[in-house]
Amino acid sequence: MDMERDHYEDVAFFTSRLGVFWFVILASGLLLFPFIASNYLKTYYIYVANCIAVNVIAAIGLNLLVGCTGQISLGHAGFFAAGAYATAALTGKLGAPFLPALLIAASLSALLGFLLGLPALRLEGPYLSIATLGFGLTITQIIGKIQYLGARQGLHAPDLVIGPFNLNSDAEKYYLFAAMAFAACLFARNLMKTRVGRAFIAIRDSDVAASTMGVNLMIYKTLAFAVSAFFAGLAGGLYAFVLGYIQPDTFNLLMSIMFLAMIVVGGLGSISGAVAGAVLLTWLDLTLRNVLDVPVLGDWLKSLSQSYFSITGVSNIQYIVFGSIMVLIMLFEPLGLHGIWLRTRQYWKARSDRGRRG
Amino acid sequence: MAFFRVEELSMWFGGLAALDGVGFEILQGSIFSVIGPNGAGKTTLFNCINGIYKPASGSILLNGRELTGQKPHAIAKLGVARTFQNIELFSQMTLMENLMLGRHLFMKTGLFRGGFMWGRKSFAGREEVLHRKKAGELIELLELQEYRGRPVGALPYGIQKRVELGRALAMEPKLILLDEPCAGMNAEERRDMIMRIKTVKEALGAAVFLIEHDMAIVMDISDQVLVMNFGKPVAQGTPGQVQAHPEVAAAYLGEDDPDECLA
Repeated sequence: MDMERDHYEDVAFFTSRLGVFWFVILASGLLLFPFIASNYLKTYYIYVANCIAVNVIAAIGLNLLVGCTGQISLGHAGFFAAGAYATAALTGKLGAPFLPALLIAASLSALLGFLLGLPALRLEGPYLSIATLGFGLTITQIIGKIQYLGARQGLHAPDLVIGPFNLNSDAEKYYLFAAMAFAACLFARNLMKTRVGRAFIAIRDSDVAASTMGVNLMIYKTLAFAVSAFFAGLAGGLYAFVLGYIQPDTFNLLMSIMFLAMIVVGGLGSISGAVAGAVLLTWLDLTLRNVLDVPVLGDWLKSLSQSYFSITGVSNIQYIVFGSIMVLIMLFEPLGLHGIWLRTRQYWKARSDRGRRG
Repeated sequence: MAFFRVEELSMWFGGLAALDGVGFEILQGSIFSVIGPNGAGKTTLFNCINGIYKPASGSILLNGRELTGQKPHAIAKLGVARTFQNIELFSQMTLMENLMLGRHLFMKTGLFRGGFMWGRKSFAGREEVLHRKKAGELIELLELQEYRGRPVGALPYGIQKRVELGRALAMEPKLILLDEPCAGMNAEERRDMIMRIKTVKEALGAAVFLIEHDMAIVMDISDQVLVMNFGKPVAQGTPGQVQAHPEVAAAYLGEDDPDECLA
């Protein structure tokens, strides 16, 4: 019976009609989103969607490194910054076309990732986090000293022009960013289903066994860093055009931690989890910044923070919420959103099986 | 010349000799066992052979090629596979994916061909199918079909041991190191495992290098036996010769009545 098995099923993108159905629903939802947002919601949500697309790319990249290969990085804001500045400088200062500039910038990030991966060969756990943390902080310090990149004042990104198209509005950018995010998901998914991705996971689960199976730890660990940094650089390059203006302080430690929080909340090692985590935390981040404008809750929070915290306490409300979410996830669902999804699916499966039998 | 030869191998941990002048030969297609009390240096010997440890002196030759000083992945490429005493499976991967790691060295799909895999006709797609078929044959040989798509971390212990054997076999090794493949098993599972090791040896023609504590098994299936104690080789020969060796009885089998242990 096993002889007739179609082994491609294991790696195929669509394994059932239901999968195709949901994919079409999702794709048309994404395509129609700008119309829905501009007609029925605020156009602000298109901007939110762009931020989400950027963070999805970065989270997927970080997930390849942390979730799949089992290496930690607290310096992904550094790669993100490198990609953002390189793209903005190449297009704005040197007049390079957007897509090649983005690709070069992401490759530069990948090179930095490769270099950071070298010490990672000898470091593990807390030591690696400190090394990557140092890298992330150093990059922004260096950028802040370079006059050509605007130093502390920051750098303006030019108009986003691809060939004859000038993508001025958020809605136009949305299609580019969503397509990029989709491509990133697909690439990461394929990668994890094939040889290189398997080697990554093998290193995470047992590096000794992986090496005795012929996996060159040096190559694959540095490769994981490089690929992950490429994704971060790509995301950074897009982010420069979401904001239109970047400065070193944007890419601070909190950003690295946010990326990490996204994949932890989503579920380490799962691509759909990374996407879900990025969507949820980006939305929360942008929404909670405006929480003081919410009629009753805003006033209550203001009075609460003035009486119990410092005045600035409430401006950090999103971090308080993130922290709580992280703690709750760790306590109740260590597999994150992906784990919740798995359990829901299992529940419905068991239910429908029971229904069929009974 | 012997197919696999170890010469004067020594390895130190601090002042302690884990291996002290160990030497032996393994013939093509034979089963070679090493026995000895805990701490005799058996697993250290394995770790030296597949490059996890770097021995202090001596040499390990596979088909005349020196293995000492090489990295584990390079040694794997030369045709040495192993299982571990404490199972070292990729616990979150499925059984099939675990075996596919064994095919790692036979595959060529890299970052780009993998990431841009486009349908079953693409290079990566064809390669995946080809090697999954090979792994599928092994799954049948080891009768693991029902666990094919399950994450191995949740499988029963005996099954995990079998998966680890399968993963090593997927590498199509010339020499396969089995570190206590029957540890923690009951009599029936042990018989089953031994039968599988024999089948597999016949099917693949690989030499088997075995660490095992169960004397009945060792004496039953081995062509040659090496006895170690405190890192030193005590005796070597066919099972019969080794059992008759007086020092072996003293070091390992107990001085009084060796037959009792062998029963």
